[in-house]
Amino acid sequence: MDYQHHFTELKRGTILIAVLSQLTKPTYGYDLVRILNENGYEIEQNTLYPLLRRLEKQQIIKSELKMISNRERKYYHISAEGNKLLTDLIEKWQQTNEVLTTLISIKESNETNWFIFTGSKK
Amino acid sequence: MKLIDLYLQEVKSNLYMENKKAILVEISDTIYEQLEGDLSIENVSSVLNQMGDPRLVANNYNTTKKYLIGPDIFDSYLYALILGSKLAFIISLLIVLMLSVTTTFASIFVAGVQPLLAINTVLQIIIDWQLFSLVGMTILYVVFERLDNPQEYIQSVEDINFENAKKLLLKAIGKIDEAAQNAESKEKTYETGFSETDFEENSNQYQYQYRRKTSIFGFIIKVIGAALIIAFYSFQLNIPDAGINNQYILNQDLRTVIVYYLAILLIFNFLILIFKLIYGRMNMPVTIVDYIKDCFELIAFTTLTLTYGLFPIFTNFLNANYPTLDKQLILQIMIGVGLVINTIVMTKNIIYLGNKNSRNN
Repeated sequence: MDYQHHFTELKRGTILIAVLSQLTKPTYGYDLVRILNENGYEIEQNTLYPLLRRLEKQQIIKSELKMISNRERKYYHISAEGNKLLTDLIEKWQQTNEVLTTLISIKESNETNWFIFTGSKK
Repeated sequence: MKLIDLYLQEVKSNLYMENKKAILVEISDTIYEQLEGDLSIENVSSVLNQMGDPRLVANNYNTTKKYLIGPDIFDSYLYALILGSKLAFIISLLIVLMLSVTTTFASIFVAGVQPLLAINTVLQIIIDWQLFSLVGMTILYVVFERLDNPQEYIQSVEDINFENAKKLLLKAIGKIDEAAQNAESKEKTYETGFSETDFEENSNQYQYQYRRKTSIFGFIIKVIGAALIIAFYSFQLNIPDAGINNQYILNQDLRTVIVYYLAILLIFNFLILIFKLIYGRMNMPVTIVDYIKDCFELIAFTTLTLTYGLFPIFTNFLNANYPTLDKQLILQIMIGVGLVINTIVMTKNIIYLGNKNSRNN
């Protein structure tokens, strides 16, 4: 069975935190992809760039064109509103994380009890 | 660097967002970053391959859907069309067989006396079913295109194939178990003759040059095709045996016109396809897909509008309110409307190709 769809769904909810957390200093698109990938958060340019554009439209981030070695480059930076959103998202994420950790530990203790009781893995 | 410029132009021509410049700056910057100063053809080709099909790159930025059936699902659409065509052919043959036995027209018994009547009926049934399948699949994929996650639906269409049918049959009669069935690797192939590897391995400078040349070829073919269609429309088509049910002779004429029209378009498209398969297969999958897409959009739209939409409604309305009115005149007007629609769509394509060519030059 292919579970990829579920993994993608799970990741979709976290992408905003990952991206916004790295835009507290001005960063350009490709650099952002590199930072995220180097830190284990795999993301493709084709996913990230349109997302940045949407966030810019919603004024969650701001952008600025700068000339770097005779070439224009677009830098992104989180806006004041985006900062507020990021703080809220992180808080929600931590709450969810705590809840899930509790639920997972209950599941594990259930399995241990089952093993003690029956002598076999569930 | 010409190759990068061509790539960016290709992206630009498929963007319909505001502020294209900012998007192109970003894509261009990403390309140069990945090149890391090495501007050799090999490195540029490799980076552009990594970036992917420029149409898909552009499509990621386009927040509203412009395509009737977009590039993401178009390969699957072609697969579904071929599948639908095969199924429709089998069904139509069964119907022909049944009619040959149960009715007088199209029967093998009248074929010697009235061969045109028999052939016409058989061909009409086959073409009608092909048309149903074409329109049905097109509508289905138009709906898929507008879904958030069409892949799972597409997969279910792609799973309909002879191999799977065989497996299901074997499983039903107990000759194969599910474990063995799952163990087999599932390889997805399309019958378009191309694969993503073809595109990736051959995405070099020649691809873009060749594409430009064949766009001019496509342009000439479209002009000839349009001229032929106009010529056919201009003549009064009159096939003596075409009207099986005389009371619907008007519809019959219209159908004949549409069938001719479709036949011309399809013949031209297949000629182009064969030409491209022989001379440019490896270098230009995108263009073939582009071109066939245009044609199928055109066919589906015209067929739906004329045959199943406007004409029956108008005829009923006229019969009810103006029974003495010349229906032949109305038919001509309807054909005229179809012609105008075709001309507009073709002109749009021609202008588009013209722009692309001048940019590439």
